[in-house]
Amino acid sequence: MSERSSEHNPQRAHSQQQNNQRKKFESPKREAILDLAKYKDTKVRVKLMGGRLVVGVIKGYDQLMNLVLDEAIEHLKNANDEISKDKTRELGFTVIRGTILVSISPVEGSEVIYVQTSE
Amino acid sequence: MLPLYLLTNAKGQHVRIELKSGEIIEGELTNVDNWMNVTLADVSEYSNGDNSAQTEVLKSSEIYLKGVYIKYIKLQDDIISTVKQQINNNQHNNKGGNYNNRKYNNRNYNNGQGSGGRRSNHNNSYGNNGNRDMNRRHNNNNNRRSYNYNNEHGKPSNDGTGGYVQHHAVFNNDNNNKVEF
Repeated sequence: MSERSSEHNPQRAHSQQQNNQRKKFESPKREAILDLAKYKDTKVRVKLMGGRLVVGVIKGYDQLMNLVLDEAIEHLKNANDEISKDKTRELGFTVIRGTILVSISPVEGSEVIYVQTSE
Repeated sequence: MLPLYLLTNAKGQHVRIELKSGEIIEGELTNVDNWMNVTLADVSEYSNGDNSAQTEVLKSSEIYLKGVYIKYIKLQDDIISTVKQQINNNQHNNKGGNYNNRKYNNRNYNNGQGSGGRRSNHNNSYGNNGNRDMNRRHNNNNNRRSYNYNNEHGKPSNDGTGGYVQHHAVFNNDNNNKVEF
């Protein structure tokens, strides 16, 4: 019995060490990781759940990533599930709900390139 | 190694993220939060249509992605070793502070166990050698004597065994107390 306890305890010590090691990691952040202030009054490309794409100028935002977009243009999907340039809808001044937002990226400094894939 | 901790410590690395929609987004991981929302820099977005000979790639300087919409994140293969290195560096660099106090306590705790282990050896030798060792140990003299006394007045039994068993139990109590600390 004494042997078992002396075996068991180092294990506990080891798990404690692991805990401490984990503490030493940088832990995931609780606060917002994207400061939308730098995008204010700039054009952004916002992807929404369901495959919709909205481009507009950010006028307002909150922590939940609800957005107020001005001059918003929604790009619709065509039959092949692809977002086409020609099928757009003018939304104007809109509020985008944060819960359905998938991604935000600035339009400025972005470009579309075509990569030839060899088959 | 927890996924979010791994990701948090993989900042600055090149990652490939597939979204639930099948889109693939590549870029340098700049930030992660508790919900696995991520920001990437120098981003390339690939749509899921891989069948055509020409792939449309959208390049942008930065992107923010909602964590709930991520299917998987492909990290660099050497991420584990890199993160381990980071841990080691942290170990060497972190002197003082709250964490270190805890570490210090931990070390004490280990020492307590070390003595416990030593004592267990003592106990074994004592059990093997019988009475001579019994007398050498002073700590539990009272206990043992009372036990022997009981034996003398009770059943005819080998008091060496009895003493051993009794002592063993006492020792374990000791050890448990140590563990509690």
